[in-house]
Amino acid sequence: MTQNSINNSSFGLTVGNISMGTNTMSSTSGDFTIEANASNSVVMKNGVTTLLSMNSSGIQTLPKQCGFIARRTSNQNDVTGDGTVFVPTFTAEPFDTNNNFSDPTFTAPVTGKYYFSVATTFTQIIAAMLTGTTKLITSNRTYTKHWNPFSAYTDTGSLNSSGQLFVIADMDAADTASISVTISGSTKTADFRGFAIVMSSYFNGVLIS
Amino acid sequence: MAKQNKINNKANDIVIDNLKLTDNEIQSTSGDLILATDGTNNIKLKVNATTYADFFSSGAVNLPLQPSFFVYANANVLNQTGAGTEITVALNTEIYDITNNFSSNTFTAPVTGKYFLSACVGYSGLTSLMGATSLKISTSNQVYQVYNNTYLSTTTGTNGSHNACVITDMDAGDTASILFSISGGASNTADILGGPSTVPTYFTGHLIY
Repeated sequence: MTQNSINNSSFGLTVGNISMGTNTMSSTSGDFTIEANASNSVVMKNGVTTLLSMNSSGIQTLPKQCGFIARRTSNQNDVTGDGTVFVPTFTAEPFDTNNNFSDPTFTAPVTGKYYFSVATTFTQIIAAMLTGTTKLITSNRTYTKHWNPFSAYTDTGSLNSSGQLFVIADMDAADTASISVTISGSTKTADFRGFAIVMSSYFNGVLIS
Repeated sequence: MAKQNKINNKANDIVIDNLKLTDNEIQSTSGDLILATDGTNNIKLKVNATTYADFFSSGAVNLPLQPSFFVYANANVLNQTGAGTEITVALNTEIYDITNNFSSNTFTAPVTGKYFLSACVGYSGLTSLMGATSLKISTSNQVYQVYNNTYLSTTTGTNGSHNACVITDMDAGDTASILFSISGGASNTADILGGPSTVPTYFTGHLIY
């Protein structure tokens, strides 16, 4: 029979609200647990919810860390091209771990550094559409990418052109982030591109630290 | 006087079931989990002598065994695309591949989680009308595709590059690779650029959490 070396008891040890027993240190209320489980993973839990898991190879995951990706699955037609500031809306969320994205805005749940990746793809680009601006607008500041929507090849009108932006941004709790796109030089005939399967227009963000 | 613990005033370590409390460490008696301080106010999570997580006194955190890779093309590859042919980009040199998850131009996720993926493809040998490039980060769950339409038809012979970044959800065993095409030309005479000094074509990834 297993016994502890303090009082030769077969029970674990409790000090204040910290309990130590087989493979586990936890609060007696069960809202915080560190354990090494049978597969040699180290797990930090709140109740039964795993917050951090490190497996026997040293690989760590944080399954509740906030992160999202929103995508467009169909076109939005005639949204810019004449300098109109277009705010894309999204039709699907492959993941939104803590439900912090409410189309078209992400709200930071905690203060930290957030990685954002934005892809804005358009079709029906014609010759005079030479200026594109994709913006990530956060509460602290706006990040801007200038790009050229038009090339000789896209003059056929049916092909696609993407403006992308990547940044790690500082956000405070409850700060928001959204995107806008402007294409200038012609008429309001550029279409915001969405596909059923391939992701060409998306808004992606995760808390890094 | 020799150091004594404050529970039973003995010089021995304290053992509770299979948890041992000893100098600067809480560890399992089998040594496969150690939470330690190292005298410099760093906190380490170790398995035997291997550090899995290092929390520095400044607050920085290092996870030296977290899956991560950087691979690139080490030489030009001629006549790959230009007339719309889509290629799987060949990446034959690894700068690092922490847990050996990259092989045959493909990354395989070792665990379920969110992965940062970034790809860049350099190209040259363009002819007139080769104006549209497509870059895909193709994963088991999603295909991310962006388009680049810089006005290349007037800059025949110059180099260009196309990049994409995303943080994506991958399940254990899912794969990721990069696909690239240039369209508009009469034949596949465009080259993929490579080389160890400027690294124009690469694919990098990291498990975020």
